[in-house]
Amino acid sequence: MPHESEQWPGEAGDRDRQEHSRRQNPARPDQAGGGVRENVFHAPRVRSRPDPRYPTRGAATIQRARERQGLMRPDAAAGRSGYRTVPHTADLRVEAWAPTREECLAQAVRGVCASFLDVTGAVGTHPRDIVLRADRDEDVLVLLLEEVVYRLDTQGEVPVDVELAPVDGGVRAVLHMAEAGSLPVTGAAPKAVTLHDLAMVRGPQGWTCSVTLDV
Amino acid sequence: MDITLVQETPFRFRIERQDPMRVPGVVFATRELLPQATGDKALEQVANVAALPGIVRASYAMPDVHWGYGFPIGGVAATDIDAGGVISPGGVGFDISCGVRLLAAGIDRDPLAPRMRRLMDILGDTVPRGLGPGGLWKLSGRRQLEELMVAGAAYAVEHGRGVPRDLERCEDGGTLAGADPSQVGQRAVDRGLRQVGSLGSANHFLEVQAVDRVYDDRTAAAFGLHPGQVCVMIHCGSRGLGHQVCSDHVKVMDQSLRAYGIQLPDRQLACAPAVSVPGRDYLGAMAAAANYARANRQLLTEAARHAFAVAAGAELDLVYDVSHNMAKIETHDVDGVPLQLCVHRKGATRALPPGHRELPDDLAEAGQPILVPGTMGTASYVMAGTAGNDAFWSSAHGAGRVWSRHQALRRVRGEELCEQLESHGVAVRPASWRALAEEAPDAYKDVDAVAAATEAGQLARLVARLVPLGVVKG
Repeated sequence: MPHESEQWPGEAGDRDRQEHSRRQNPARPDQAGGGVRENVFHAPRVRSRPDPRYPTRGAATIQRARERQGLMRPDAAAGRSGYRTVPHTADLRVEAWAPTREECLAQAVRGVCASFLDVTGAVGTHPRDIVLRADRDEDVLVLLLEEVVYRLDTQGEVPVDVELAPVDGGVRAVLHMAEAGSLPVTGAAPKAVTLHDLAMVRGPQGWTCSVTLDV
Repeated sequence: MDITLVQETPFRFRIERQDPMRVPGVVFATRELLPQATGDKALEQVANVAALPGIVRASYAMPDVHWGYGFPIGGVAATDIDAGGVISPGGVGFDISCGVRLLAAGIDRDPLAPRMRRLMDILGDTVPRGLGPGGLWKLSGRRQLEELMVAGAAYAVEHGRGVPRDLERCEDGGTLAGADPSQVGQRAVDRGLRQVGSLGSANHFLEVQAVDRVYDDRTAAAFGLHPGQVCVMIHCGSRGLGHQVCSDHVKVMDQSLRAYGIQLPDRQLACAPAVSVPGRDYLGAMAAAANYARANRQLLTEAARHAFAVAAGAELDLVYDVSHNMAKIETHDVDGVPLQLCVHRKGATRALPPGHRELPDDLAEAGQPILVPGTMGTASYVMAGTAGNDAFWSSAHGAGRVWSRHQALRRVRGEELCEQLESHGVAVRPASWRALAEEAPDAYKDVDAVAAATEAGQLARLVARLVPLGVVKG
């Protein structure tokens, strides 16, 4: 499928807009002191258990540096992780990749949250500890993102930090939540996770996933 | 699947039937309105829908068709429920009974002009919108929510949120029969409890408009519209509750496909025979969510009435309330035989012709009002149902997107768009600049062309053109 207008997180135009958005977004009535933030893009911190099959320390350091420079690309993803959103009329499509399944899932969460809120510098105030099980890896991805949507709709909170560990038939996820209302809005909020062109696969370079969300 | 598109008339194309399609596809559009973007799979989705078990006549696409997931947005499909015809939650959409209602104000645009700023400020302050919980009506718990899901807009009116005449001007009288709240899961209830009376986000809005042009004086008068008149258009749906209902039942049907011997090209097309247990369960839950959406729009109507009363001393009368994400069991003649059909309208509006028994008496001669919202910078249309419609009495539901949200953000800045709109006399109250940019007028098809193609395709006829004066964006 051609992605003729891919927008990479960290690309100059996108970064400009995020910074611009932080300066200029009209304040919501319930947005207490959320407007002043340092002028640097920070992705939410993602922790996942290291997989001994992949050397991650050096790669992670390089990835953070590249991310700051807006250089993250999937073709350079061997041993690295990341996410991007790709065009789809009316909806949100997120792709993520990582050496391990859990890190790939965490990157997908990160991509979804970054699509509608600027989580720069946000700190999780309370954890949500959940276990998700499904027959297929892509269905674990759906359950995880549905949890994000559910918490947003019912509690008005979003994960700014994610810890994932494998369990029998699924994952254990600890989502470190922050108040969504205190963060600048940068896009339409996701309301559901679709099964359309859903994929989560392991390849020679690690794991990749793609998912479409209704906004 | 390679799509073979044959032009039948300047306003109608046919997608030739090929395996596994059971019927052809029919696209009501001019060549210019056909999905153009590279990678847009809308026509492929029209063909995929044509493969659903029990589908009859054709898989239809309205002039505003664009790429969805499973079904295209702007798609219509009817299945014969006595011949294994299926119900597909994806053919309704996540936002069950998302729809539009139009209110006619007792004031014209010139007298309103000096009061417009105050009106917009009140609307901006009082209409809940954006992400998360927060609605105008705090329900006491599941029990009260279940009562609301059974009675819909009628429940809101019974509790003082509206007047009885409102219900006469709602599709189904504001209450879709057959609601079964026991099929609405707890997570859907959790999401719905605190969102009754809220716009939500994305393309949802409350817009103050003026009648710019009337094409049919007699029908416009029947609808309560005249040139220069101020109107309010509200576009929203069933919020998190409807989305959760869809998600939950898609999963159930995804698991039951093998049991019914159904194979699909897209998991989001998950379906089950309409008369099966999962089919009936979904229809009951869908009706409950539809009633939630109708109550939601009723609550927002009351917020608009309050703002107009305070700022302009004017009243608002409901012109009509239509849903454009629905499935209904309807009787239609197919090859001269009356059949019970499950008619899916995903991003399409029901369009009853004049004389239809379900129309209220004062609209019987005119036909059903059809509301076609455009964009905040262009126009919207009021149309009326016609007898020549062969798409199971369905019509367009809006302009239809042509840009992804990415493209909109690349090309448009919210602040500049806001200035542009204000300089053209449109007051804007956005939830955020970025969300505003995503909904830029250029991100949509030309609504004038969509309305013209809708009329030329004999789906509906033009009644009035409305232009925006002020927009409260979700």
